[in-house]
Amino acid sequence: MTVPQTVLIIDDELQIRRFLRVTLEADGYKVIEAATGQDGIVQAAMSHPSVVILDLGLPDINGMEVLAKIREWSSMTVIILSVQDSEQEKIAVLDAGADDYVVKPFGIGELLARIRVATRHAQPIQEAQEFRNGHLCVDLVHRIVKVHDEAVKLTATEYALLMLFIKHAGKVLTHRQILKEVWGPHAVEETQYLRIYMAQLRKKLEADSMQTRLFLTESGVGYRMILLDS
Amino acid sequence: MRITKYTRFHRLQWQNYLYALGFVVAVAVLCHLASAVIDYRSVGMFFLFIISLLALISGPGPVLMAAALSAFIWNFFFIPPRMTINIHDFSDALMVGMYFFIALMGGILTARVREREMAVRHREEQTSALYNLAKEINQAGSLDDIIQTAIQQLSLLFNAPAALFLLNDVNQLEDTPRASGEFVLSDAEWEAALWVFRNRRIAGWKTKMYPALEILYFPLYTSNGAVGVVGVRLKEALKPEEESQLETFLHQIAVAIERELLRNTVAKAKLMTESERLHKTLLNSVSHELRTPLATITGASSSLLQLNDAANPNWKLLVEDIFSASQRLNRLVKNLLDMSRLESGMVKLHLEWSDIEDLVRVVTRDLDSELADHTIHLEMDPHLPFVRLDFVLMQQVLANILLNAALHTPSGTHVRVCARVEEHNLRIEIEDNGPGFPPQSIAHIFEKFYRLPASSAGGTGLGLSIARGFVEAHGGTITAQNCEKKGARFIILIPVEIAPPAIEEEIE
Repeated sequence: MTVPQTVLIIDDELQIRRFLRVTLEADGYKVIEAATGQDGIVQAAMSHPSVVILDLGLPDINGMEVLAKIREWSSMTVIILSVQDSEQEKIAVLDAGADDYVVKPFGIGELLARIRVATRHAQPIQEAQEFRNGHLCVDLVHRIVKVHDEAVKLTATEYALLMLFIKHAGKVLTHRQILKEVWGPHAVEETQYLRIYMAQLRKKLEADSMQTRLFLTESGVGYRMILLDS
Repeated sequence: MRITKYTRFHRLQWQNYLYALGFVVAVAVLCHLASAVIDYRSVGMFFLFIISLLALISGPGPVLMAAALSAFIWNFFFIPPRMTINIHDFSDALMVGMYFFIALMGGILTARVREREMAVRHREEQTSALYNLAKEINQAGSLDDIIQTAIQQLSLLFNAPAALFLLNDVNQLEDTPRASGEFVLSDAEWEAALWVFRNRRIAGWKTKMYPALEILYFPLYTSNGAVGVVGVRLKEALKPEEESQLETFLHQIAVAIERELLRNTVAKAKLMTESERLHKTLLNSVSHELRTPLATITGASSSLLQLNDAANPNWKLLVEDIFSASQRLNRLVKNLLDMSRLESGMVKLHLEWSDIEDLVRVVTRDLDSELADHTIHLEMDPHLPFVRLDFVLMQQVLANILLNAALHTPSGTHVRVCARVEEHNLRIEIEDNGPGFPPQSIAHIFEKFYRLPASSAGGTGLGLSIARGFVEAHGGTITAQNCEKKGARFIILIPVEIAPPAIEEEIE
């Protein structure tokens, strides 16, 4: 039996906090609540939660400020809730260090999946020798990529791109983050590179089935590698 | 403007006296130098020649002066006995007398002809200025342009700063005139302008009313009433012909302003009725669309409270109803937000090189549950190049059309999405094998709040209208038609740049 993970909910809406608490507790998490940004920062510092669910529209201070404050001293998982379905905002919070975002209104299933992915990453997986995800299998030591047990040849850049997705599997990566990691800081505006390589990578790695896709386009924001059930 | 040449000519009159003096003295000196070879009588001919030349370039004043001076010089320096004004020979005296008379008459006549020609030219210039004004005012697209042109032309024509006070919405004179150059309005001047506006008579500078002011005010009016006031800071009083020209001018301006004011009023009235109609439709449609899912949520959740038993087999059904009603509500809110973005002109394209296949897949995945009962076929051109478009907006366009198909076709319907690029256009076709459109509806389906007669609940009447708005924001078109056999078809054509960014090939 492991110690239950703690989730801190920072949201001023009582109803939202309530349904999150009910579901999260049923899912085995320990839940702490904060109704204001200031209180949220204090709670985050005091109880060191594994996950912070942070609403952007707080009554006292902007959620972005809370995020910045938390990021000053901690890399704990932060998932943003927002009523604004705007790509610019999503990119801004992700680039500011948020791990993921969910737009209100949202289904609880979506949020739980995001929490699971984000917390999975909190544990180191670097020592793994092999990465398996659905029909994809990557031998991390010998750099061999297999789709349906058939070896696929990737170029150096494609492989670097794939490694980045594997490192952050399930997590959304903004165009900027990917370009910076794979092509370097000078290339952060060259989104067309990314689109071309993504198309190539998909051609080589995606199964033909229409619904199960490894790489999900988060339109206007970036890409996410889905964790498929094997 | 040519008219300014005329005024310059008058201002430089004193220079003509200098020319006259210079000519006469120069001829006298030349004749003196050549006195060994020319007879003193021919000197008079030279003078006469010079004077007739002079008459061509100057007015009667300098000619008179030159005639008198040359007669004197000729007599004094050339006609014997020299250095006296006496003339011994009677025929010489007669000659000087006649010389003076001919020089004078010739010079004055020439000058008068010239003067008349100048007047004709001046009138011509006035006519052409008037014509220019009329032309420019007619070309002016807006009220602001008309006023700008009027002020500009007035100040050019009278070489004086001008200002224009306009009638405002509530039929009062605006106290902030549009002016050329600086035009500071004092209380007295504002009072004068108001007086002119009310009485439709000239006032201000050197008139009976408000004579102390430096500005002369003219009313701008048509047969339907006053539309404004023009103030001009004149340097000298107007000549009668200038006054009549100004009057014609002002009338032209007044008519143009009135026309534009009327047009604005009509446009405003039209807009009012249009927005009122829209408001009504919006209220009707939105209140219906909002209330339906709200009724479900309220009803189902209150039933749950009543039942108070999670084991009841209907419990889950009611919860599912609440969930789907809230999703429908959410869709409506999104549509309304998109619509208001479109209507307020807030849609800014964020163009980026996009993979159309990816676009279509994102859309079909997002609508996974809505399209669960339909079969989707994708027919993508395998060589489809990347095209520049706004990925997020186009995603919305395709989603709205597919959602439309999901709502209006029975389950089991096939939906085909195909995309290709032809002649610099991205062409996306979405067709189903459902019942198709009723023929009379095709023309209206992109209209706001238009719903097919007897269509099932769930739509907002906004989705297709938004789709069209976003496609048009790309400079493209969207059309609907019935398929040859059966079903509905949407065709989206978007002009796109097709220059896939080159990337160097890599070798592993």
